[in-house]
Amino acid sequence: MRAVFKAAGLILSQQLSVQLGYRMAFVQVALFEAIGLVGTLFYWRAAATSGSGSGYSAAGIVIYFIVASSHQILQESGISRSLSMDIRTGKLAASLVRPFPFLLQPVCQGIAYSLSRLLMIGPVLVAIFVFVPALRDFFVDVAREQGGVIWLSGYLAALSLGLVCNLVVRLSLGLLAFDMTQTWGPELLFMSIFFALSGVVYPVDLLPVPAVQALSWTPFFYMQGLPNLVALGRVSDGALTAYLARGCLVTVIATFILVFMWRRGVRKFEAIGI
Amino acid sequence: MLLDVRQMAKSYVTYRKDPGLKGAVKALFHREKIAVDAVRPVSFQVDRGEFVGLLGPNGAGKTTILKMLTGLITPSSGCGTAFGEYDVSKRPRPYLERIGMVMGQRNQLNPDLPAIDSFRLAQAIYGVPEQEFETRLNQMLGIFQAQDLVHKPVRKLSLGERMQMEMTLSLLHGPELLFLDEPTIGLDFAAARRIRSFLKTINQSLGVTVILTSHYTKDIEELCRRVILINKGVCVYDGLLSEVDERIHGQREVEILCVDEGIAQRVMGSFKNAQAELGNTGAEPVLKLRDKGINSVLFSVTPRMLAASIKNATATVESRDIVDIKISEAELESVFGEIYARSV
Repeated sequence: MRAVFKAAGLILSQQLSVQLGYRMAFVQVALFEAIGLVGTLFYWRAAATSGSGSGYSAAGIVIYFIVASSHQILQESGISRSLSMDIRTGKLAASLVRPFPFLLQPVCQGIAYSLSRLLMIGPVLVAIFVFVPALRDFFVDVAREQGGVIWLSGYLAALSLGLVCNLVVRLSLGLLAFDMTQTWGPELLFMSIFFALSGVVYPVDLLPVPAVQALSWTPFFYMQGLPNLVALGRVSDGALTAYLARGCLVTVIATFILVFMWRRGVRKFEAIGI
Repeated sequence: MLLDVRQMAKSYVTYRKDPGLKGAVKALFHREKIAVDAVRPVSFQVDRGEFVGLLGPNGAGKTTILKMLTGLITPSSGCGTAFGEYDVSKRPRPYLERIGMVMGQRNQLNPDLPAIDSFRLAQAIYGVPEQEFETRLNQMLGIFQAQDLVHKPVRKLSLGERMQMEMTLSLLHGPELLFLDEPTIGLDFAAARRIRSFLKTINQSLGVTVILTSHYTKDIEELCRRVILINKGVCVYDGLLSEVDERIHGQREVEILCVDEGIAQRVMGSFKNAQAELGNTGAEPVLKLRDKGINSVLFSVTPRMLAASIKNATATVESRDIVDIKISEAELESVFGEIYARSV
């Protein structure tokens, strides 16, 4: 019996060693729950203020979640994981000996993912729109208030920007595989911040105005927050133009970071392999 | 000359972690760096049409050399020039268009699609004209007799079938130089034989220069005329495969099984006389009693003297007096092992 306990203790110690071995992940996982709580607190605040200060009716919150969930479905492609797998398992090596830009493959994969998901959820959304008059009336009112074509154009622009921004950020996450064995740690951290601040869990305009302004300098705001708010007609024309311009700037900066990470990663790969 | 490698070396830094929980905690804050010389300076040249085996035990540096030659990793020192003009470490596009690579443990085919889709992608990447593509594809599939496999999802193919498709993919753009990293790893006997036969054909008929790493001596024996032996990052031999055998094991062991002891004595006497006439001195032949009353004579000769020695030894007996003649040579694996051991 003593030998069994001794062995069990050793296994525990070894497993702890393994977990500690994922240096970055260890710290990030510790942060995960705490950051997740932030989102929950804001969700609570959204419910508490519905119909009053923030102007969200109960129906408005439901509609917001339908919109946010649809956008989330379009974006959750898992390309960061498949890219990091490609790098770690050697597919990168196999691809680098071909005269073709490697990164174009996950880019195409991400776009294909969004398009295929659009085809899947499109009919469902149309059915909801047709069979739920309250939802239809809501959007008809928004279109009337905002000017139909302008609203639709603004929404499509914000959605496209969000998809591009999402792609760039996810690819950057995947490229972390050049530096670490387990990329799920940073990915978990990213997801925590994403859920807490992007607008997936609650409408970001529930936050104080300075916080929204600060958020608008991060990619999170454009990945989810802006398209959600534009869809619900909660962004004025002038503000939308400013946000789109700022979003393009943020996306361009994120793209530069992506290219930098790629070049640095390939240089490192060429220097020591993986 | 197709490939000219000069003093190419690779070293890198890795980390050392102390064992146990204490080591794991310590490693959170500080990791000890260790410099590793994966490949010490190696130089060799490869001519057009050659089939070169790059051999060595695990961790010898074979794959590192292959990666340096394909530009996947940059040498720490030295350089490699391909086709007389390309610095391989820079991975220039014209160079990539003229080479192919197959890694036994790396999948280039899209596992979710039929192989033909990956072939079409390769056609687009390399800009292969339709007619050329069709001709090459049919040629490759014809050698493998694998026309039926191209429309099956890669995930559903066996390892051997997948490797056939990988080979086909790597040759669709008509590379002049093909790098193969353990292409028969994990394959059964029949599948490995099919791959070897394919490689022989593309080397001999299509003139593709091949550099192969493999642990299987069967691959080497059947395919490579020339071998480069690497051990612990050092090139310990570069030359013809036949010379490896001759240099280390210049002798063949011959065992002549006779019907009885008297015949065996006569065989031994004939062999001794012939050797004396030729002025050859060496190990004396041995008479050995085997089971079922059959006696055998054992002697060692050089490969060049093999036929004459057997003829001389059996000159004074009838063919019905001889039950069997066994000739054995040292196995390639043990020869390589001996070279590696000498190099340490």
